[in-house]
Amino acid sequence: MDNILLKVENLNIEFHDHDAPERVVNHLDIALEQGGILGIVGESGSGKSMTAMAVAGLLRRHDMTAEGEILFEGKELLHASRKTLRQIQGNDIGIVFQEPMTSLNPVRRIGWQVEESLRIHRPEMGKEERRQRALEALSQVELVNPQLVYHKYPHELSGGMRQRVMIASAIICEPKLLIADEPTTALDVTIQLQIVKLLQRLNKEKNMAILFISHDLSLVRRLCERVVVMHDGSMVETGRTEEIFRNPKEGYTRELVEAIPKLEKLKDIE
Amino acid sequence: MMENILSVSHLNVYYENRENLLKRFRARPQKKLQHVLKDVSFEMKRGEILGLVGESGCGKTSLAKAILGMQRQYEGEVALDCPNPQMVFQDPYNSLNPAKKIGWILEEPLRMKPHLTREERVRRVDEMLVRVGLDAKLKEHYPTELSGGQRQRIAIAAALLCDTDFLIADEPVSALDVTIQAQIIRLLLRLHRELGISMLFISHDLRVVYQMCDRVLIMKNGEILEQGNVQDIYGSPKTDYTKLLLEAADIHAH
Repeated sequence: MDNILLKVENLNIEFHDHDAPERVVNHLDIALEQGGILGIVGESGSGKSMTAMAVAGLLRRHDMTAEGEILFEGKELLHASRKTLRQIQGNDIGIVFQEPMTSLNPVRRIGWQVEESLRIHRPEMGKEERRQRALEALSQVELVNPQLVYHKYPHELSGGMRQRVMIASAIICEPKLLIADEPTTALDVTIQLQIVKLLQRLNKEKNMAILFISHDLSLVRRLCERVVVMHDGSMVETGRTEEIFRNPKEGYTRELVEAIPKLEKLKDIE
Repeated sequence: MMENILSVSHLNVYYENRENLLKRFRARPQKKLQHVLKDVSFEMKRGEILGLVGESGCGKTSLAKAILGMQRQYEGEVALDCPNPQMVFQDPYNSLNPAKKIGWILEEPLRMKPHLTREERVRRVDEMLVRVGLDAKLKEHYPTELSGGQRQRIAIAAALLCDTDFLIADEPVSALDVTIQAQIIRLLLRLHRELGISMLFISHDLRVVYQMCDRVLIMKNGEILEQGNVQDIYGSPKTDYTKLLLEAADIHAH
């Protein structure tokens, strides 16, 4: 693996809202090459979203500390200044969250929200050019009628359409890395499949690396070349996805893989 | 004895479209009806687990409501041979009263039966907790102190305390982690075997449906697209929608 895009080394995240600090991410190492797709799987509370937030530079809170190193193209992100972070967020790193229902601004039209990153990172761009780019991004995410969606409000769209809008606004500056934190969890299975295919296409066409966070092992298996399995804040196992699914080494990974419903009638032994 | 516990024939349900306020106060309001269930017919045998699969908005919950008699206006016929059908909901975090202890929540349906003494109620609750694989001590706790899997077990216990023989499980495992999902499915299967209850199992996970159900209904836009044996439908899907569902679940027709 050369051309490392993202390298996380010895990441520790602790909460301080109780008397004793609570460690939610423990000695985590991750590496993602340019144009690669890395999956992070784990159950709720395993620290996968915290890792995503740390990489996105969104963990600046007084009640928690993060230690270690996050290197994005050689630049340290974890302790970078807000100014440096702002140049990277939305520009080199795009982020898509789980809840398409709540992460869009309800009182702004879709077009305005998709263009937001452009207004910040491409100030030289004129109004009309921004509009063109937004329409382009909306059609890239396979929305059927970009012109129409551009003028709509979030509540007028379905869950799948909103998630596409989220992806459109995340990729409008053509980021090198897209962080997708459970991007399909709130959606119907058939829509999930479409979104995963869309991410696959964007990854190939734009050589955009993806950090895909999910608890859905079959989606991870479909999309990711490499996978990190997390449990209780620590990495349990990492490697090529197919190998890990075929031949899990650690007990916890085996448990996870066995929990994927198999196509056989289940016996009711608990 | 293979009689039907439930038979639905030519069921049509319409909802009045919620127009915005301005339109509602117009001189002549135009009533637009939305057709949410279109000529739905199926039968369910006593003791069967029937799967119901479909995307959000396809009418799964409207159908469940119609079966439970909560749908006021409908055309067609719903015949349910069970006096007290019960339902288990998707979200174990919002379906239990947060202000009451587990013991109180579980005793609630039993308080409706005046012939039961307090001791008898407590005994039945304890029995049921053990039956769903929980510690009887848990009744001293509040719902917020329990995990998602434990809460779903409580919801199942509450449904079963009514001595029902018909249960609608509306996406009972969708909100849970995969390892917990498997436990809850095994629990439902064991209860099915021990108590012989009939179950309408609503889910979007075709793999789980395969594991649990004998027959399955595939719904889209208020219509039943396909119904039949799980193996038959998975083996040779007839509609494009079913094929898409199978592809999403990574199941290849064989």
